[in-house]
Formats: sequence, C-alpha cells, structure tokens
Amino acid sequence: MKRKLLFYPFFIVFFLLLQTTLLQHARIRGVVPNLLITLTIVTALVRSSTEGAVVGLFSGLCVDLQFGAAVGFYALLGMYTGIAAGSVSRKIYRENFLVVAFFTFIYSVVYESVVFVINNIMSGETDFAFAFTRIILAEAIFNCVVSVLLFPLLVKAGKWFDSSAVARKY
Amino acid sequence: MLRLFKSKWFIVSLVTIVLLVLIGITANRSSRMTWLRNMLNVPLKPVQGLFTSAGRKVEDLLAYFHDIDALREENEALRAELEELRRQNREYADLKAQNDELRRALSLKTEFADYTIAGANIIAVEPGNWFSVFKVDVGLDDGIRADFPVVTGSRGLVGRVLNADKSTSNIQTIIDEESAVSGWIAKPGGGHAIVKGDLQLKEEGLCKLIYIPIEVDVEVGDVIETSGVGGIYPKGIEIGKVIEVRKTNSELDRYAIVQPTADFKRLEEVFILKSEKK
Repeated sequence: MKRKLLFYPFFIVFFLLLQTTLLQHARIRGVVPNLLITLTIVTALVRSSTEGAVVGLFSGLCVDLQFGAAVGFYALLGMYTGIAAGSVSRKIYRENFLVVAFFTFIYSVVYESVVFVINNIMSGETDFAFAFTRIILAEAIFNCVVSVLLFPLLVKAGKWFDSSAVARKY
Repeated sequence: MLRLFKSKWFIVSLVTIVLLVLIGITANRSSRMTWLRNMLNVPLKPVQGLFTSAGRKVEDLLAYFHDIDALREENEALRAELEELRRQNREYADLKAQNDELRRALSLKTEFADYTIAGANIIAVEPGNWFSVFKVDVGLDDGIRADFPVVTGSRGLVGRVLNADKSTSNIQTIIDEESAVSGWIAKPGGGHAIVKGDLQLKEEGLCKLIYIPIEVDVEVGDVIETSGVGGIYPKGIEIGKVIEVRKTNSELDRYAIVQPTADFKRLEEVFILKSEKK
C-alpha cells in the first residue's frame, strides 16, 4: 500500500507537469497525447478497476484544480473511465502490450467523445465529424503509443507492489 | 464477496455525489473555492515555470539549426522591405507629429487610462486538445480578478482572465472555441460583429468573425477592434485583421476569418489590464 502511495501520486503530478509544459512543444498537427487519461486506462487494464478508478479520480481532480471551470468534472470522468477500463481487464489476457494498446485506443475515443459532447451540448456546436477525425482519433493514436511505453512500467510497478504484500504476509 | 462488491459501488456512488456537489458549487464563477485550487496551484507554480522555460530553450535551440536557410532568404526580403519602410516611416513621423498635436488639442484620453497594466509570464497550458486556456504566474495577490482583459506587448487582444487563484490565473484566449468577443469592424461604415473561437481554426491560431451586418462590406485587410459592448473589454483594442471572407448561400450566413494581432504560437509574456473600479 505504501509503495502505491508513493508511486501513483508521483506519476500523476509528474505527468500533469509534463502535459501542461514540455509536451505542449511536441504538438503534432496541433494535437498532443493525454498522458493522464492514458495512465488511468493502462493502470486499470494492467492492475485493476479500483486502482484505475483512483488514478482517474485524482488525475482528473488535478486537471480540474489547475484548469477546470468546475472542480469535479474531469475527476468524475476519470474515475468512470478507470472503472470501465478495469472491467475488461479480468476478461482479457493482459500481459500483452497489443491488447493494452487496443483498449487504450477504444477508451481514449470514448473518453474524448464524452468530453466533447458534454462541453458542446450547450453551445450547439455540432462539428463532431471534424472533432472526431482530426482530434479524437489522432489523440487516441498518440495515447496508444504512450500506452505501449507505460505498459512495462506498470507491469514492473505491479510486481513491486505485490512483492511488498507478499513480504508482509510471511 | 458480495459485500465487498456492494461496498465498492457504495464508495463510487458516494464519490460521484460529492463530485457532483463540488461541480455545482464551483461552476458558479463567484464562488470562493480558491483555497481548493491553491492547494495544487501554489506548489506547482515554480516547477511549471521552470519546465515551460526549459521547453522553450530546447525548442529555440532546435529551431536555430532549422532556421538558418530560411533566415538567409528572409534576410534578402527584409532588406528590400526595410527600404520601403524607411520611406513610409518618414511619412508616418510627419503624420504622428500632426496627430499628437491634434490629440493634445482635443485632450483625448489615452487608450487605457482607466487601467493599470500588469505583466505576466505563461507557465503552463491546458492539458487537453479542446480548449485554448493557459496559466500565468500572477493571481489574486497581484490584484488580478476574473474577466480582466489580457493583451500582448503590441496591444493585440489575447483574451480575458477566466479565473484567478492566489498566485496564478487562467487566461482564456480569443481562439478558444468557448470565447466570443464583441468586435467592431474599424472602417467608415463599419459595424458590430462577433469574434469567435473555432475548433478548426484554432490550430492555425485564427478565429472567426460572425454575425456581420448585411450592410457592412467586409474586405480582406479590415481591422477588427473590440467594440466595448459587453463590459469586459474596453473599446478599441486591436483584435486582428480579416484575411478571408467566406460567402455562403445567404448573405446572413457569411463569415470572415480573422488573423489575430497576437501570435498565439509565440506567446510568452502577456499584459493584464487591471481595472481599478472592480
């Protein structure tokens, strides 16, 4: 537990910093990957729904506190993304990065579509086709790439967490 | 097992309710929940500032090698332009002297007489791909409040303060799709129109001019200024220039593409106009 409390907050804050500063210089056709939601999805897939939900909740909360108009919006979405992504993790063979990349793509598309729809439901902006092809799909592909890099990190982290649990048992 | 499952969903619903309440409270712009934001924003401020400036240094360094050829060509073109500008400058100097004299005679108010100006550095950019909001290193402690106008050094409109925390604030740019500014087409026979951010144009740093009055003949090169209607922006700040007019089937539907005076890709420092009245 202690190890998780060290690992997750560090990576959430580190990714938040990276995302809001350095990564902005690496825009490809105006689009950047979303590190925090990728972390949430990969955590949920590799670890569990619960860990994914907690990571999603806190990374969403960080974004809300930094930039959100209303605190809680991204936190709520992040938590449910974690729960949803985790719900498939029991049914799939998760030690394969292609599986993780595939589900990262699917959940990124779903997540960003929900963000778009909720944000635009009031203003009546209906250019979903452009948003979908140019932003959502592009971002989902970038997130895929990030997920392949994050996958071994979380598998290793998982072993590290579990080894402490085993050590305590004996 | 059943119990655990139940309790899990209980926790999820509880968190959901708490967050929904939080959204409800904080959605109201006048709410004073800034302490909540300060918990994160105050400690992160110096680190973000450092990261952003480091990123810029790296980008500049890479650009340095990339730019040499382009610079050579540009240099030629600029030399030619310089000559032309020198000639124009002499004309303008005459006009300016004349103008100053007339202004004094009329005792016109200076542009932003009601405002004090605060400089601010951009330290972070909103993480998602949807909005165009950035964070600067001044906040409530520096007298910054929501809705203060933000301009560049060359007095081009950047946007407005979305919300301010203790030592940082978020700036919504005019290219953000949620942003709409009341503009004035600055020419004889001009009229009011709305400068709006657009998802498709944002990437290129452009925005849209919509609701152009039928009687106004908008042309490429027309300057758009703030109209002063709406109470956020003072009258007469330059927003940008029309670079394209798109006519659709009906006259009512036409719109123009505006190139903002502020260059959003190269923005590092901005100026916030502090109104003393608020």
